[in-house]
Amino acid sequence: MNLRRLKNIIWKELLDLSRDKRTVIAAIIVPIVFYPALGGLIGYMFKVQPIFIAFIDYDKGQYSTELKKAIESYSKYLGNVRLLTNYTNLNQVLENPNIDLTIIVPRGFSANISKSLDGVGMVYLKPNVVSSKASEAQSLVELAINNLSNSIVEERVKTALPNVSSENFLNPIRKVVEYIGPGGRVASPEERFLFLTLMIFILGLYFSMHPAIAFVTDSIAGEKERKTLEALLVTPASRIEILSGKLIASLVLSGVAAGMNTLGVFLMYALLFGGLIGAQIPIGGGLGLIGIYAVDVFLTVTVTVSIALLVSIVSGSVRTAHSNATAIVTALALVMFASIYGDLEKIASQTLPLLYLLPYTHSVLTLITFVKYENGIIYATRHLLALAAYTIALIILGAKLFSGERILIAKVKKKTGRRKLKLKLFA
Amino acid sequence: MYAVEVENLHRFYGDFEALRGVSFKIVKGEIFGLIGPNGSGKTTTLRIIATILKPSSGTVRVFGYDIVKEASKVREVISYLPEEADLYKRLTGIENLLFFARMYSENKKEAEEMVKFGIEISGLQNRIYDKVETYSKGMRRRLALARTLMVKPKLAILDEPTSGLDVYASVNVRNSIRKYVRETGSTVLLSSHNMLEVEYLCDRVAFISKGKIIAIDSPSKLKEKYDASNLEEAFVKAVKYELEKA
Repeated sequence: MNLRRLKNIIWKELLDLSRDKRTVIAAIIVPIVFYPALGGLIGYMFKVQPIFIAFIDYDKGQYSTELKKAIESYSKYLGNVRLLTNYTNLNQVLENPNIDLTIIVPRGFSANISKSLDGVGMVYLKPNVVSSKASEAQSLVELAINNLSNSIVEERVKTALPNVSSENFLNPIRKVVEYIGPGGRVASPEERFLFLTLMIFILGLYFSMHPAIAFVTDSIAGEKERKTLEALLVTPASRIEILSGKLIASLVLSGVAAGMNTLGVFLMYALLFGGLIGAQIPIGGGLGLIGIYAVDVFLTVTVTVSIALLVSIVSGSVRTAHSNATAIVTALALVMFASIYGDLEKIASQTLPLLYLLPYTHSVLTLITFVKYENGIIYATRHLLALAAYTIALIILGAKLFSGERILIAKVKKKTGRRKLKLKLFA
Repeated sequence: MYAVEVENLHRFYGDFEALRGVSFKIVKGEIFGLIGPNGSGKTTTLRIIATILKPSSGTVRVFGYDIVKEASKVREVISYLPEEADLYKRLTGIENLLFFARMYSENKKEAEEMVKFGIEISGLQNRIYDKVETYSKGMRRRLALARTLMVKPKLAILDEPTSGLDVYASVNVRNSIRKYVRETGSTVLLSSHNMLEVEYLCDRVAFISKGKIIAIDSPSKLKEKYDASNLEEAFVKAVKYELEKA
């Protein structure tokens, strides 16, 4: 390999890339602006979106009033909750589709509770199925109901069994929760959010792949389309020098994109939780996870670049190359989305070992195994090496396919196919 | 040793036979023209000589190197201007020249000399510092030609060098080719369906029709042979003669 020519190809590619505003924006600006904005927006929307709870009180007794007070009291913890008490029947509520949950307290509710030591009062909860806040409203109301029930039981215990501790009577079983991390170490309660952290990071992985696809398809298929490749192929540069030059330039972009993506995802994470629960949650796994994530993004982008490179070589135009590469990458990346609903490591090792054949399985498993096992770095490194092996294999295959024959004759075959189709139609 | 030796060249695209036993030789230092209508096999022949396509059968040697077995050696002595060649539009004219100069040169000084020569051939003067996307079609073609010739290849392969250009731009390109050959003594193989251009530039021409060479000689001898007043008429008569013979 001639290093002078290789450097020259890298120089040209990077110069061309630096002037391609769309790709630069997609790779650098978007992650640093888009991800934090997305996190902040989701958090902000959760925070500012009011919860409307309609309270229809047919009872108007002691306990219905106490229930209302309990709901009002718990509402303070959620912030923007409005308890609407002006409704007198369900039909009025149905006219307002913004009501997230309706509570109906029937006549006799307080009387039924008070009439005996085992008296029961009924309330009806009607969550709106098309509301994004209905489950949150329901949790709030159930918390208030439980609290009111507990205080009623306490009163009953005091009356019937004056020497018995009402607290112990109510809670005959005490639970002690201690969170454990990999290897049985004691984990902090914040680490409960580790799975959610991983989901956000995995989504970040997916979004990091697209700028590289655009750059590679433009670099190979774009040269074909713009008629610059033919002259390049006749220069003394070998096919492997040309491909390596383009790939190394792509990796520079991938490296920058990986850095920006990591920073962007980190900011998104911080802003999302800041907005959701008004507190900053430390990233479970700490700086190590962020470091592994950065390497993972880089290698995931690299393997994506190699796939796009291969697709670009066999495609006739940038548009075809871009849509084909995006389709293939998205199909392969389905494991990333699937991993949101299940532990991919468990599924791959126990039921579907074929998943190991997909490169992006290793992108996901790098993160999962890193946080799941005591020596997670060893497992994560294995998966990172698998990603590197995929890249090398794809580049070797690309170099074999990268010939003038393939590049120039693809169109002829297409035309012949069309002609045959026409003849068939007219036959 | 000939600059180019083509012997019994065949090339198939699927079932279609694009070249049917093409043979010709080019002497060092001559400008050789391949003339024929669209689809006659000119570009396929040039692409095979330029090592982009492989022949289905037959042999091609460029300065003694076999284009299949010694493709990398061939690429070191040739430079190629494809028919629809374009340039890197986001790069300036001089950056385009520098990129190609570095591909052929051994060191920085040699590359700079090539670029200087390229600027001279292109005639773009101060516009050479502008991005190619701001150039007219004629300017782009002149720059592409400069890119091909500035490396002073032993063999320059030019596929329709004036394709799609207006009269003024075509004259400029033709003058550049002629001036270059006079200065460097290189061998040029060009294809064209512009008979005027070929008559003006070429020492010898080959008529190619339906993948076969039907006549080779100097433009004046071809006109004489077919009793024609110009090369266009000679080509038409040569094709007719071939049809009658078949």
